[in-house]
Amino acid sequence: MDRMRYGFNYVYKPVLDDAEWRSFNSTAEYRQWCRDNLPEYLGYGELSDLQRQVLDEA
Amino acid sequence: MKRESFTPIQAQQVAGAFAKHQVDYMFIGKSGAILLGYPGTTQDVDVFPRKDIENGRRIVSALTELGFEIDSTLEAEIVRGKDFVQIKNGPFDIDLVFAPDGIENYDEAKARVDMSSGFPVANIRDIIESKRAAKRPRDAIELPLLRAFQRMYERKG
Repeated sequence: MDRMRYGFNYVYKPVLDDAEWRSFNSTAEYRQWCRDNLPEYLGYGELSDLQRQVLDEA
Repeated sequence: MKRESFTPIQAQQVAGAFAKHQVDYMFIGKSGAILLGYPGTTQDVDVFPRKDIENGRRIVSALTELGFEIDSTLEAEIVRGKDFVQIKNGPFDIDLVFAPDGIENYDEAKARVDMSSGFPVANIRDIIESKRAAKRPRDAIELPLLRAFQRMYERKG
């Protein structure tokens, strides 16, 4: 139970956590906002060729 | 199917308030997978609610009870059912995903919902398809593990 409880952890994420809330007319619009605004290391950016291949094969 | 019981606190809180206010929804995303037993971590709760005005009003009531600060603008966005509403001003972060990638229809997803954890969780295949369709680098890291989890989960089922 504790393992699952701590499965939801929190660390500050630049930009993403800097608004109380945000909304988008479409999920695609949200994805684009993420690509345009979030630091690359958060993992919301463009796929590399290798990552695209991994997604296709998974 | 017998599985270890678990009660992630955010999920419990959401489930309790959403049940009280009769919200029609299911957990989705990585938080949903964790509820099914996937040994990962996540920083928010992802919810796939039915998109209709009355359900939106119920969500507002439930989130307010949980301690989220829902001003009139945000309330209107939720009731209207904007496709993606991300809220970070409450006791935990929650994403209301009214139109998840890779899932065409709420009713069809609801018919496949997994209640084995005691929570309404999207079918693991729907969770995986939504992540595949999102096409994010973070999902490319996670998806092979989720697929392996799915194979084990369905074998045990």
